[in-house]
Amino acid sequence: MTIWYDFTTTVRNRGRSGIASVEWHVGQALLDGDPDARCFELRGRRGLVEIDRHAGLAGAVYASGAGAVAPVSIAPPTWRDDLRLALRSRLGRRADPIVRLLSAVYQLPRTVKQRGLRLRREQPRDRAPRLAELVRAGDTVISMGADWDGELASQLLDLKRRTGCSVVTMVYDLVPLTHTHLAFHNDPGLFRRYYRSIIATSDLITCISERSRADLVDFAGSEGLVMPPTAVLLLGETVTAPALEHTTERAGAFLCVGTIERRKNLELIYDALRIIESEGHSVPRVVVAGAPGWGTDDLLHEILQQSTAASRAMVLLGSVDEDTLDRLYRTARALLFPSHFEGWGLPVREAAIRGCPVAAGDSPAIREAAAGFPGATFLSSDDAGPWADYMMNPPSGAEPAPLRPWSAVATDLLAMLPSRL
Amino acid sequence: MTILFNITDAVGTAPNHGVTRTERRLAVNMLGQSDVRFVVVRDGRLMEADSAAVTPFLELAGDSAEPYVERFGVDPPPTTGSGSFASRARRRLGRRDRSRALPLRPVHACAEDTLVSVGLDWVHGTLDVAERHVFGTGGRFVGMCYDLIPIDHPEWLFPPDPLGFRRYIERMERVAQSIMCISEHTRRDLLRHLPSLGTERAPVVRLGADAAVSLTPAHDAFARTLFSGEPYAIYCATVDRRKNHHVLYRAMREMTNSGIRGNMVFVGRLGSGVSDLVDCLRHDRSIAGRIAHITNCDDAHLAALYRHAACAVYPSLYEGWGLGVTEALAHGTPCLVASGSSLGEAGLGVCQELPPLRTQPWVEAIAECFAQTPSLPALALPTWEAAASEILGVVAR
Repeated sequence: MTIWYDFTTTVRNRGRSGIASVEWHVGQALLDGDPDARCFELRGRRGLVEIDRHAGLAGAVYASGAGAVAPVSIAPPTWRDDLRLALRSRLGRRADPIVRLLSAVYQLPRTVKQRGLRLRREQPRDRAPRLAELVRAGDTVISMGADWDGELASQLLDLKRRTGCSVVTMVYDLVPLTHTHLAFHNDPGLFRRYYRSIIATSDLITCISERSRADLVDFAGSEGLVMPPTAVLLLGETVTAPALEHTTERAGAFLCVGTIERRKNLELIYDALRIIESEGHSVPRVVVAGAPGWGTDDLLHEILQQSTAASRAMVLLGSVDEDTLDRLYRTARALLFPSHFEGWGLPVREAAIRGCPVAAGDSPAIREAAAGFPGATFLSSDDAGPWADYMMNPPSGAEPAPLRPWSAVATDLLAMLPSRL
Repeated sequence: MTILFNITDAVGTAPNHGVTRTERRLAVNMLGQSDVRFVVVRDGRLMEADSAAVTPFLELAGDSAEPYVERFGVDPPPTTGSGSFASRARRRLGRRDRSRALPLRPVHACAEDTLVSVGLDWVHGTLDVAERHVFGTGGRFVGMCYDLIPIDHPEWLFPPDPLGFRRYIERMERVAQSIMCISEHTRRDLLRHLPSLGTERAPVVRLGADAAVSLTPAHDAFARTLFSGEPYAIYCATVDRRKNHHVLYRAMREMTNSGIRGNMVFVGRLGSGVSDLVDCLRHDRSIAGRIAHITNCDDAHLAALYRHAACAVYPSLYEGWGLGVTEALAHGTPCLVASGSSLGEAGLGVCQELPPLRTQPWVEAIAECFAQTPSLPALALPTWEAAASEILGVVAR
């Protein structure tokens, strides 16, 4: 039996998303532990093709730091920003197609130039072997990534029908269905189709938390679907050198980790800082490690004006590499994680294993992620008041939670595989 | 001595928001005063209008309209603003035509005349006219300061222009005999930026409050059936980032999680910096149907909404006065207001003040109102008539 591991999301996202990071780390640990395991990706019209595992391990598809993007600029907004804000203010999401069209028109000269250059270069013929010719009955295909348009699930189903292999997938959360206002796409129909296809394709669905599994089971029940076996596969953490050590001195800034998007609720932290400012206290610094995402234009507009002590206290670093993130966790006074909803809560775990106190929005999966960590405090994600109080009296460092290496995740995954049950 | 009262906004096409409403109400209460003449800034020139001709234009605020109700998560959003593009265009053109129809003639001002302007002077170039009147004719000018938001909080303006507004108030200090302030809070802010002005030249004029208007059974039914008889709180203000509707959204989420019944009504047009919030409101299923947004709401419908509300709320992060608060009180509706700016003043000492960014106090106070609507003590409400008299008094100094 051969294990085939999917790196599609990692390749597509260059490691910039949380899902890509999980896919990469699990894959790396799995390939490390199984010399016979092979890997693949979904490559355009050619479909599922095998990729060189050594190329993947060498970092051709992902490398620590490769995902770093520039910090959020505090340059004054351009006329295009003003136009975008004005349109969105008037039309909401209905403005998005107009904004995209205007953006495409504005970038047309550059696009034409780039396309022209690309056409001039000689494209090597893609000779990557197709998976359908390689996979055998009894093999297991593991896909931990996500491909919302359903093409990957469709290809996996086709592969399964042709070869008789088993398919193992991962569900991170059902936010697009359970919390539509927190999901970028805001297209429940798309995601209903996606989750239906995942259920139809999989012989085993792993979920990153009990909460996600419960949501998936509820979804299957509401759709009248027969669920394949499910299992909770808790995620792991990465610690870079030097070896993990307990830091007691935490005099740095507060830390927020995650894409600056609506679900992560950074606005609550800003409001907490404004409470502190309005009450005449010294405003503590908050460092935000995460790239700008969606649904926060109004907040970012306000912060980037730098006209209040609260906005000046917020440092937007953009996406950072793992070494920087590691240092931030070790020195931060606390991790502030006011997210409205999570499938798991990786930053909470990453802080916990470094003994960094955590204030987190109170949701089931985050409680799962912080289970057993004495430095965790759960606060309402709809009230900035308790967060302001927390920042004015943060706890000292806590005893670190035990590390769960990605190798343990890979081991657990292997033990769950249908062929080994 | 004659007062030249500027009614450019009152007869213009500006929406019926705070400044325009103030100008209209003051103008109405100056009608019939023999020493008051009405002027309009048009094409950079001061033009005069007959009092008799002005009257119908000042009644624009009383236009009846059919409100558009969007219960977030239940009703479809309005196509664009209120009504179709064509109907809005017709309405706008109609208004512009009406204001253009106001017969005007050039003003013959003299050194004894005082130009008084309480409108959107930074938009109309009123200070150009005022400078010609003061430094050319030898007359006097009295202006109005509503707030210092463009300087103190540029983050709430789209686009921000703190330098432009600073130039405007510095220029006003140069030309104005007095700069009236609409609250003690605003006066403090103004003197912080213009310490040389002195308190004598910055008198406080307390704005009036519109009393309830007569209602028909249809207006009453509109408000009563809005949430099928369930209690609701009302927030009448432009849906704007500064107005802090966000804390009410959070409060409604908390109330939903706690099983507290009750709803919320936002009355006012969509402003700036709230596209993310509105998008959230439209798609958050946890509060679907519990928050309604009403646009194109006339005074009668508003009065009915106030009458049936358990309470009014005003969590704005900053106000120069708080016209919505005194209007709620004028309708007999108790009001919860945000601390930290002038809203306590506008609340006439009978409104509970709450920290604007802390959700829990709002949850508790609103829930108490839903459980039992508090009664208001007898109040001496400020009137527009008194406000107009105060302005005449300032000019007479």
